[in-house]
Amino acid sequence: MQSEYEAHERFISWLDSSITRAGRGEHLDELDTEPRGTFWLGRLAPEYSVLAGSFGARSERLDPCAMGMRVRPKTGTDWKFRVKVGFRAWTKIAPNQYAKSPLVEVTVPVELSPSDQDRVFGTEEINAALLTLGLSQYQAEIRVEVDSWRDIPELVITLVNVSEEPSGRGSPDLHLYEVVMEMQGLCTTPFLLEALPDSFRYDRRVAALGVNSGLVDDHGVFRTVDTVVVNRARPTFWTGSGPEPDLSFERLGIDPIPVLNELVDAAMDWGRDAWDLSQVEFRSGHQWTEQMWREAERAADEWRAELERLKRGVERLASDRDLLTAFKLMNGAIRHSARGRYEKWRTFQLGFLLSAIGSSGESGDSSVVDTIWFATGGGKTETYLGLIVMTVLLDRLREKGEGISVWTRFPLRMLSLQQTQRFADALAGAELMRREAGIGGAPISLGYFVGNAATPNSIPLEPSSGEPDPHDRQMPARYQVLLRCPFCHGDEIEMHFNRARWTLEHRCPNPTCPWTEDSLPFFVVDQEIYRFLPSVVIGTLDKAALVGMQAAMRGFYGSPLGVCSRDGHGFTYSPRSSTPTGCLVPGCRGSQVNPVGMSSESWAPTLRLQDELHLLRDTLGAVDSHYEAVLDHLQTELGGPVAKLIASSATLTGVDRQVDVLYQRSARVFPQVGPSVSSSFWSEDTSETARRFVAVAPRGVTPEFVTDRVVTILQQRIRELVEEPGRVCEEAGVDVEWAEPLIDRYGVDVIYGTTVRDVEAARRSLETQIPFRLHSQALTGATPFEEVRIALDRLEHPEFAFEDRLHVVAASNMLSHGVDIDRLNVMVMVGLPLTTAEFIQTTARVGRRWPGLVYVIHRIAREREMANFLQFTSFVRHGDRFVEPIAVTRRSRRVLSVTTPGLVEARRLGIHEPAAGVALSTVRKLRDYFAQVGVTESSESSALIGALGFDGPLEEGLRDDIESWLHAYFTALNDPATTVTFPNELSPSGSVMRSLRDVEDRAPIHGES
Amino acid sequence: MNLELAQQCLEDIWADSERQGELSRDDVTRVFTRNGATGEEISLVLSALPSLGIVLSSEERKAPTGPRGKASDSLGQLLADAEAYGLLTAKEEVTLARRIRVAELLGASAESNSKEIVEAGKRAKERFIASNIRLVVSIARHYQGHGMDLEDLVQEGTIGLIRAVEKFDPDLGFKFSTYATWWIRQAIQRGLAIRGRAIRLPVHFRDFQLLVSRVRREMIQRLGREATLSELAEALGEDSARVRFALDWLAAPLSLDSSSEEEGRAIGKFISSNAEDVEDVAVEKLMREEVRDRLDGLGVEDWKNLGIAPSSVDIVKRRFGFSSNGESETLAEIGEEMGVTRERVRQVQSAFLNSAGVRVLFEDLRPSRWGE
Repeated sequence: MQSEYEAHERFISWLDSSITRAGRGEHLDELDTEPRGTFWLGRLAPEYSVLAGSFGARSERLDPCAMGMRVRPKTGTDWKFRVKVGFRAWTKIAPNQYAKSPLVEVTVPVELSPSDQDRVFGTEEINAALLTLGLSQYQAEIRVEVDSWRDIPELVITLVNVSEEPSGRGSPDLHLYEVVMEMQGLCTTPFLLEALPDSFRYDRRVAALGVNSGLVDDHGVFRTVDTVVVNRARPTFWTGSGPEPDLSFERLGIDPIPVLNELVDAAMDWGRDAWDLSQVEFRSGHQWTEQMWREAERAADEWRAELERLKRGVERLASDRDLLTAFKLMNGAIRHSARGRYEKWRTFQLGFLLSAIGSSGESGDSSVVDTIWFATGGGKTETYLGLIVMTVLLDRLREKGEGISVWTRFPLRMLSLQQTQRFADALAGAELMRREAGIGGAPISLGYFVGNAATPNSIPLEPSSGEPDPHDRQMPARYQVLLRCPFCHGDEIEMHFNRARWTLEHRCPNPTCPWTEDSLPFFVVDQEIYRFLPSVVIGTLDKAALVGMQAAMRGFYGSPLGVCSRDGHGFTYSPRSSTPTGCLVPGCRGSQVNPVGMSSESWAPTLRLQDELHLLRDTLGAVDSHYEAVLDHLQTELGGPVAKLIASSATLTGVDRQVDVLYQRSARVFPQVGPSVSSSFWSEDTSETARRFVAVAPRGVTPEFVTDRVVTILQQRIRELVEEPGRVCEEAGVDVEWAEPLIDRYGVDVIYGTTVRDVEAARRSLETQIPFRLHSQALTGATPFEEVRIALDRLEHPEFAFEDRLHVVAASNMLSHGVDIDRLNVMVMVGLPLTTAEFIQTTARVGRRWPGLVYVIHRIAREREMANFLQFTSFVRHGDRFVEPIAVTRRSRRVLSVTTPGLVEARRLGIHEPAAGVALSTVRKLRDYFAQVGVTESSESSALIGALGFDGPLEEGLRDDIESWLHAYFTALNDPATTVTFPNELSPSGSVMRSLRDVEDRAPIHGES
Repeated sequence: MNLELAQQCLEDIWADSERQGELSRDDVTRVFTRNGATGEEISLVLSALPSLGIVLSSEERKAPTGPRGKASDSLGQLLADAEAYGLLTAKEEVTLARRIRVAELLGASAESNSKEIVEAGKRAKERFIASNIRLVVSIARHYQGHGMDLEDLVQEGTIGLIRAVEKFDPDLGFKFSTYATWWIRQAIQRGLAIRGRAIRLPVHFRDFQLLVSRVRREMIQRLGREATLSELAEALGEDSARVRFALDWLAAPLSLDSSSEEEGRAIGKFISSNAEDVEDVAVEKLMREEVRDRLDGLGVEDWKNLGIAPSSVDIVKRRFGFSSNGESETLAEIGEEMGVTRERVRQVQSAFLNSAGVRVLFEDLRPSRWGE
């Protein structure tokens, strides 16, 4: 009996092979179009056409005339081996009619010595075979080249199409098709991947290298293949020897300590054996160098430290009542949000939580950034959410009844709606738990803090064009963010603008919903976030720039100034001409502002969370590092404790330095990598395929053509499965009972383009190139918010009839962030993404639950992609090691000149103005205030230098910059004849940044490719 | 009436009052205009407000009273008055424009509860116009030297301004001046077209002329010479006769009394005309009086002596307008009254005119004039 998963694995390998067959033309004997414009695999162009090609060296790659392999013979003496070649030819038999020849198959013995240079073999045998089939116009030969590298001899064995250019008119198709080469009988030694550093965890050996082709090593027989297939295994998250402890939310919500102890014990047991280094060396199959030994010992120490933190985590839970309560309730909340789709934690998720708890009580813990490395598999968001929910609940238990507890930042301009929904679900769970447990404080709420493109900054009473109009009855619907009610999970959400409260509300119309108030505790308008300070704010990192522009950002690092006396108006901030009392509600004539209900040090967020840390690089990273510093500075200046930072990253390379640069803190990564790449305590590869990666190097046709063909074939196969499940299942070797789920899970193809231009081009091309009706949707940063929501909904809840469903999603890297749909299992990548991290992240979007097929079409004209194709196997296996280290510095004087205006303004808005108790919104008022309380050039610059931590010898220049900047600022400020009205115009280096990405002007660069 | 819309307005007003704690008339007019309510709907909603306990306050600013300062001329006085009103901010523009709109929607028939709003609307309109007079003056200045005085141009422009104020929709998000400039210029140009020339041309023809001269200028620039008529006509896609006509009428009118360069005589002297000569008209008038005197001067006997039947004198007098009512009657009219045929009247007239006696009687007058 075939298992469901096995059926799926077979199905994707059948899909893959049917594409390869179509690419080679194996399925056809006759053809009514030119074969060289039809097939993109297994073909060899005649040598003369490559030599005459107009693309120079690239002609060879675009439509090669030779293919084969490069091997390293084990011995330096005479070499003897056999080479078998096979191919066919297509000949024109009538206008627009081509027929395929029988297979030409020849085995040639090769014998040569190291002193030989280039030798040719098999000319006679091959030509004789061709002649018997009447294919005299074709000629081919086997060339063996003796090469050497660092005195190690290497053989390059290739089959070359040497057919001669016909003298007459016209150009007959002299390509060879379905070409295969096999070599056996030679003892070889492997190559070493020198691009990668040596490590005890990795095997850098590669048996042989393909030349214009992929290669399989079948026990010493090397065979060329047209596509390189690499499977990545699905991990299991329980590796202990005993039975897995009951990590269900239910159990952990009732009595977690015994279970957690079981888990820690299992980890100790596992570690004793798994980290026995001599065993590890033995298992690795090669002998370690001294350096590798040192590395291994260090890794073992790190494991022990991790284990220690786990133990401490359990101890702390056992001894701290509030913590334990929060932990238990958190499990209930996550259970609520999981909606039965999953019932338990994966070990590494719980491990991260325990590790964070274990270190949270220690002094100086806030100087450590806990970084979760999520290359191990899905579940990152849930892990975060566990921590977030626990933090919020703990805050409530510890008398922080309101204000922001957690500020979560994503580095993109837009946030995935699915991600947001998951946050909302978990927080709704937390709120239900809070009520049930009778914990005080304001309801737990969520703010969606993203920016103008998606949600409004404010809803003005008198909107100018482009702003949301409160009188437009369609307006609320445009800003729907939640896809369903987070409390009752009902699909219906009504959007409503509440004019009396001036709030844009998500409402659940379900009468049985446990949330009984009109509007859900979910805010999407920036101004409402300032007014109500939701417990958790989820937003884009860009928004951090607002600390230098918006007085109402104060709730993100300290306390608001007061509460409006009118009910439902929320917190108040520094008064402005349009908000005379500081209340942000339009037209509010609230006569008085009441003091806030908590002491000032309790308001700042307890936790700042940074998603996708690896994207904070280059200038964005540099700019952010300055703003992070000023956030910390403001928070401590206003009496609060420094926020704890949590981050997630796709790369471990250089994470210590990156965290130090960004946050002036040290990094702690969880989970530590195990003794081998494929196994750690937290996860271990199984025999199941998670993703099948297929690398393709198209020949003679464009990558776009191949994309269209691949999508056509994929869609055709699924359509056949819909129509004739019996026949197709038999062909694929799948039990027919799985037809239905297969149609559901492999009916959507993702086309991934590395630029928005590519994505759009691919999508447009589908409309004209596919011979049947197809529904496609582009998902890029430019796709309107509402369209994204509808598309995601269609993907998650497909239409009943297959032909009504979405068939193709053309996406840019917007997809690689938090789009989690189990139905996305096939991806066609047009060209290789620029960074390895993007490759890893993007491909992780398919095959989340079922085996995924990733078709990577290499743009072979590019050097980088050609190189990648030739070492694709290692690229996938060692993927994480190919990830480029993050380039980031905080000591950029240019960046400093861009950030300083914002940093100085942040101090004015966050510290001076509230201290003054009146608006300091004009130069005159600011000057008078500074003179009165004695704020000077030097006091400001030392505050700023302190905040940025520019106190080392290397930062002399930066200090000078800050001082001279402030000198110019104060000179302008104190100039009685100044014409400047507003303080933010005093900056000598331009205006305050509006977004953290404001640094560089972008210029698209297009080149010939 | 759209009850749903009225309901919507009422809800919005209630929500605003809940939120703000108090409401002004401007808060309410905002709701009306933004929701696109009609006069009927506004009236209904206003009548419902007291029962909800909503009392409207006024936010009106006091208008300046009396002219400020003295100016030597009327334009100076106008500007001085406008100065007193000051310019409007964008926000004021919106508020005033809404007041005007709502007042207009409510109309003159407003019931007592909306009287105040209508009155406020009128004041708003005055204020709005007064505050924008300076815009009119500044635009009008550009049109000086086209045949109208600045004061007249301002007057024309003000008509445009009033129209702009009436039609301005504040919720389209434009500044008033952007919108009004178009109206003011249009009014001034129209005024110039109608009143700016000694010879009035139809407005559409004036527009055509402007087009012709523009194209002509462009072609001179492009060709480096004056375009020929046919080139011009082709470029315009018009009949060349019409283009010629427009060009002719572009020329400024000349006085007939101005002297020609060559002979130092008045241009009028060179022009032949088939129009009636003033002298001729005077002579004819005198002659008619003379003829009447002579006809009236003779008694029955005198006519008989001349060999003319006295009854025919009466007929002739009526026929040529010398009778008491002074109107010339037709043969048929006279015949009908006298009970004879039309032909008979003609015979009598003919006999009279051809008789020797008549000839004697009028011998000294120029026979050519009246024998026709």
